[in-house]
Amino acid sequence: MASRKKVLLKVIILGDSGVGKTSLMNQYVNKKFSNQYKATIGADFLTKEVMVDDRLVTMQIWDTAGQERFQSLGVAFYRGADCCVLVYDVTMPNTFKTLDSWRDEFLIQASPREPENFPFVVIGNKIDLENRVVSHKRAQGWCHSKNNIPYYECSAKDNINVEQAFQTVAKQALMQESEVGLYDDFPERIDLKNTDQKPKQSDCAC
Amino acid sequence: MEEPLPEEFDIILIGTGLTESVLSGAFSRIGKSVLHIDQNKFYGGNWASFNIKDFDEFIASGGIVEINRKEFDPVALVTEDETFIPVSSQRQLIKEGSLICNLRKNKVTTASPKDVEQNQVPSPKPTSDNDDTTGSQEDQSLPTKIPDNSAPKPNAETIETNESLPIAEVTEDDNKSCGENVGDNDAETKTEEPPFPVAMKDEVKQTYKFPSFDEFYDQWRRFNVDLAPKVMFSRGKLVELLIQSNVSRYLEFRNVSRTLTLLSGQDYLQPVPCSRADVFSSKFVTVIEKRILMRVLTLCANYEAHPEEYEEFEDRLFLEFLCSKRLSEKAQQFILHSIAMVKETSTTIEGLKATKKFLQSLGRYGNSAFLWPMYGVGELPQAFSRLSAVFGGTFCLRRNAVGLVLNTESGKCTAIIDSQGQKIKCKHLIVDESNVPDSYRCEFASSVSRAVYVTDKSVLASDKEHVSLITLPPDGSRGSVRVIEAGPQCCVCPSKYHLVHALLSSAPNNDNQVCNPREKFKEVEQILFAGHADAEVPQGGDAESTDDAKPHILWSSYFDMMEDGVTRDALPSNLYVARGPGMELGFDKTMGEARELFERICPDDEFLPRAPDPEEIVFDDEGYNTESNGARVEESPEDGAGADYVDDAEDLREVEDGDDAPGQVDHVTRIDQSQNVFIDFAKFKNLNEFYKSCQDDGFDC
Amino acid sequence: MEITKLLLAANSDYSSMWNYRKNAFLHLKTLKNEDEMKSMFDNELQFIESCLRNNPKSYGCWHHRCFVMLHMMKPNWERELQLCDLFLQFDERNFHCWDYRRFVTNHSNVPHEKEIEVTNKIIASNFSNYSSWHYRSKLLPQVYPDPTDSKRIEEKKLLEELELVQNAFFTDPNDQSAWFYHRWLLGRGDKEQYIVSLIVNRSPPSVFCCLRKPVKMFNGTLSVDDTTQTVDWTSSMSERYSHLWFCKLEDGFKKGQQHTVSCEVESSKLSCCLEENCQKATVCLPINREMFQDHTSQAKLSVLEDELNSCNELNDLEPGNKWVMLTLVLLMRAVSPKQHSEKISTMLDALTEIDSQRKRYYLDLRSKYAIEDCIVETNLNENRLNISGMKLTQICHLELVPTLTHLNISHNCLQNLTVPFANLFCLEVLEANDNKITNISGLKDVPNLKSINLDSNDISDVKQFEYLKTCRCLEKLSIRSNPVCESEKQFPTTFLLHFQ
Repeated sequence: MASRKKVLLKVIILGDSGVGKTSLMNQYVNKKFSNQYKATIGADFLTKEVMVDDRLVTMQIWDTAGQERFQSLGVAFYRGADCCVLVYDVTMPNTFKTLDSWRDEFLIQASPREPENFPFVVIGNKIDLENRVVSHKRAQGWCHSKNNIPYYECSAKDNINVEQAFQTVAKQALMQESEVGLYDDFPERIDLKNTDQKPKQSDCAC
Repeated sequence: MEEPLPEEFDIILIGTGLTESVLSGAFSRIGKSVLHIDQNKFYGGNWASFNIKDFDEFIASGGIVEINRKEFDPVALVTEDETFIPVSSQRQLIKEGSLICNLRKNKVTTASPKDVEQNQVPSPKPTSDNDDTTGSQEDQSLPTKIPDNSAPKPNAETIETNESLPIAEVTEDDNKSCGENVGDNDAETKTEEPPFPVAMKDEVKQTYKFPSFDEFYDQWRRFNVDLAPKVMFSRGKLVELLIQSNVSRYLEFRNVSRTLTLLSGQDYLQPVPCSRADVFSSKFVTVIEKRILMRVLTLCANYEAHPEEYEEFEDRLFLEFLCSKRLSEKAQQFILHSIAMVKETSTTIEGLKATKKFLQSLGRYGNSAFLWPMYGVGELPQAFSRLSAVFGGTFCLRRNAVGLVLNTESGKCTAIIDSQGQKIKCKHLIVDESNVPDSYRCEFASSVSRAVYVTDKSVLASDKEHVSLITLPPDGSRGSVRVIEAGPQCCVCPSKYHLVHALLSSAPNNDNQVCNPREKFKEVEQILFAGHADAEVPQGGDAESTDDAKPHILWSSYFDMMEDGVTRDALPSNLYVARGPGMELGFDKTMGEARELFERICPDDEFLPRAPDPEEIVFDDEGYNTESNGARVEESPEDGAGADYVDDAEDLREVEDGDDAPGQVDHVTRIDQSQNVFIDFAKFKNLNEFYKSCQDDGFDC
Repeated sequence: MEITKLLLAANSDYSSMWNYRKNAFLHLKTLKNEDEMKSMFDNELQFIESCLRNNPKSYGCWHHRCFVMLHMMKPNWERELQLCDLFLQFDERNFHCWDYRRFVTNHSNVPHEKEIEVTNKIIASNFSNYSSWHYRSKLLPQVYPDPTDSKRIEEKKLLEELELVQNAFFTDPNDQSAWFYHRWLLGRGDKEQYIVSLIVNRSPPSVFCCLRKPVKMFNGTLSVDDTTQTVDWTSSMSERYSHLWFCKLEDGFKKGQQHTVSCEVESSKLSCCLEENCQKATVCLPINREMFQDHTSQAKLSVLEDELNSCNELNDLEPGNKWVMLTLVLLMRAVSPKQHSEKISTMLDALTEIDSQRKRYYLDLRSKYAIEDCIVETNLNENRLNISGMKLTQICHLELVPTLTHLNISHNCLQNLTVPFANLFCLEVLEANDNKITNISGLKDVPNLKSINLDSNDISDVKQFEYLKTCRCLEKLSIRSNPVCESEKQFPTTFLLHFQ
């Protein structure tokens, strides 16, 4: 049964400082880009509703909030992720080299149930820049070697491929979620938001 | 190469314990520049939660961290009008740590495919390949055989701190490959003697098969073992703060769904009827007891309004007061030890206050007075740290201060010198107890003795999984012991296991007292579990029937946590020392301290105002709008100041409530695949006002 | 459709919008195929659910949901049960949801045992909700029927239930839902029907039959001298249910002959002998205690005594709780009215003080008990009843004593005589002096009433006497010491009225 339940997916974005994680998020969710480079402040997580195969899902994209700068992300950040986006800067070879350790770090910290099947998406960002260093082939090769991680080359600045990349992210994340049956998370679906005025005990019992 | 830290901050915090993290968030939130460092590779300090592997390592090291320290002379960085005060990094956080695992080595077939797969996860440290020695150590040190079970003498298994724990050090790979050979040998020869007599019996009966040592450690990541297990009063300061600050969106909770206790003269646990619903359903008290119990509880919930009921007992013991209310002895114990949770020597007023506090929290979120954070208490400091980071706080783990720099004239702390040899200026410095310079130290005031157990089932069987708070009243020489048990639904252990924390406070210099924490918990183990952790249980068959329902200890650890040994009067006026977790059941003291420190430093600022939801932040066409620019730091490594705030974080424009922001979703409740129902602060308000006195109503219905 | 959706999303109580949607669905059903309809209905359920989240007590939503479920080809009832679980978990007193739950269980054949389990859970989490107790009272008799009475529950279960509810009211004696359930448990089942009395008139030839239980239709078999008669029973009053039924005999009685008239209904038979030279004959079954013990008689006496003891304990612990006291009164009445008469009386006195808002209720209850006691102790075949001087505030049970010729209700605290006396066909003398009566509207149409004493009452309106015009046999009316006498001087204090 193709359930029409509302799904909430947690996606986390990893990668070295300055590769454009927050910019990608912002471009995708808010369609905004700023050229000024600023460490991430105020960015917490952004949400966006996406249609994936006829299902409306809410994607919650979590920023590292700058805690990656000194390799200081706590384990709590990784909890319950449904998909992990690894970002590097195509003009900075080091940011590509560290993808391995980011992936490993994720698998250790998030400890997903099936690590070898956990969905990642790799984004090579800043392809709008002239001084590209990491070749498409090299990146694609690495992704291939890691159980065929989908790979996208994007520019957050020029909004190239961003939509496509995150659509794949949503799809991948949903696959991770899909074993949960309709009934299993039934309780989650009902949240009676504005009913805190529970009848008091003194009310008539009828 | 790691970039250097900025050189100046308003506030520097050392240690990521809860108090420091709350403060870190609070200062960042109002736009102060904050540097938050911790010598550990994890968040939380004494408040941390660990997976089993990291926990083993922590116990083995005694909490002492080998910081990757640069070679440099800190004094050279100090100018003439400054004084250098060194901070020792070798501070021992815990004492008398030991670990015992009762599980037998694997026979190769038992590990499920899933577990094996998990083993294939590579576990190197992330990004940094230069600065993390502990990280690489960790990779090889999957502790396997901790105590040698063939020598079941209590002292033999005790692993003293630093006496490297893995007796047989095996890497994960080894573990797998040698399973057939070494593993078998192990099982056949070395650990032939049953490590766990009761287990043998069970094996004969084929009712339950204990996991093997390897099966257990294969799931090491699924454990979250708290150093400082505590529960949150549903109306306590922490809960209010989480709601007020919107930090609750990072966290998930479960109810502490039952309170258990041991009545004197009995040897089994029973549920304490705390709420109206509990009292109604309890099968352990007569209807008459129910009535009296309810009456006293209702009175306590609103005792100030009825001074006539307690006046004459004001200066007397709470126990006497309870006695006067015709409560049965059983009900008195319930209230004294499990609801008020005060001592037998507590006064009536103390008791009434404590009872009221409990009752006020009751029913706010379900039929319980307490919440338990999913994944353990260690999530709390991380949540506040994230808030701090979101508002610009700089975080740096695996870094500490080798010393403080004091202005000789003013006596104020003007900077720290970090382990990378960088001098970083600050206006205020907040440190946890382990980072206090030796010159401000005195003897430890007290310590908390801890035991942690992993068991095969709950201490009291039930048709659903509970988080249990168990209060064991003092008995004879044994002091009062607090026990918290949580299961896999709380994400603190894998399925089929339960995690049990036991705490008792101990004055350190009490002579003739048992010093070894493990000895202290012997009696508790007898009550809660089938047999001791050290396999000294009688091998006879007669214990079987009675103890059959009790859980078996599969793994256990003991340690003492040191508390507060700081002479606060001598501290520089801008150096503040945050207390550790201590024995407190909840978080009120800690939150009180955090707020107090905040108000000392920033008396005119609001303490943790509500952080806007991400949707509420408006961006204008410039991308990051000019207003929100204020909250953004120009990151220019050269400049490095990082403190150049134009404006307050307050300038993040917040849209009105009810704005049709697209995709407004419920951030707080996140459900993972385990079908848990979480408590969402936004969802429930005042679900049940249990003790609300019932207004009379008509017959005419 | 989309427009109604928006409107309903904003206000789910807009029932004409729901109806519009209903019609649309019925129309679409004729056009679309099964799969399309299924997905539409699924969407609709989803939509209703979202409306319910905003307004869990919307009649329109729940009704519409019933509609959708009934029109679906393969309704998923299990899912609906879970929905009920959730809504009840959130508010266990949402009776809309309880109703819907009954709807769902009826359509999905959920075993009642399972539903009892559900009420167990909900009651355990909060017993202050009458809906779940009520639901329970509907389920239990179906699972644990009393062998003699299908609406009651077997004794073993009854005891368990009593224990359960006892826990509830000991935990919170102010909780009325528990007390109501308690009363239901102690309530008696269907009373056996029998004929209380027969009145036979020679001329015009007619029979009055008084039944223990009021019925809507009466078809008792009437025979005269063992010959079954064809009769039309009519109720004496225009009430829906009546104790008293009347019929004319076509053939009539032969003059100067003795006849035996019998009436039979269910297993009860009563015979009355009309002596040869009598115009009229009456017969009454003696009225016993059992007749009146309406809250309590079926459960075994020992159970009641246990209940009484625990309530006594509770009363000691919780002095002055009206629910406890009232239950005590009811229990004492059930166990032994005689033995406890004094305590019952003091307790009712206390209740009038504690719960002064319901003073009248307690006084009336006391009056009722006094009248019952009196009726039980009187030999009704003498056709006289004296209930004077008992501080009565109300008159009741008149329907059970139609054979009375003399009724003394004097020296009480009656404020009015509004209960109909018309069923007292035989009543000739009514003594109602020394009360506080202001209104005598109940004295209409009392066919044989000859003498009324209304001395020393509070009648101030002369119009009250209009009612008496319909008492065709009235000969004597005494109204000394009434306000009306002072205001209307011309009025003789005693006078005789002759009609025709």
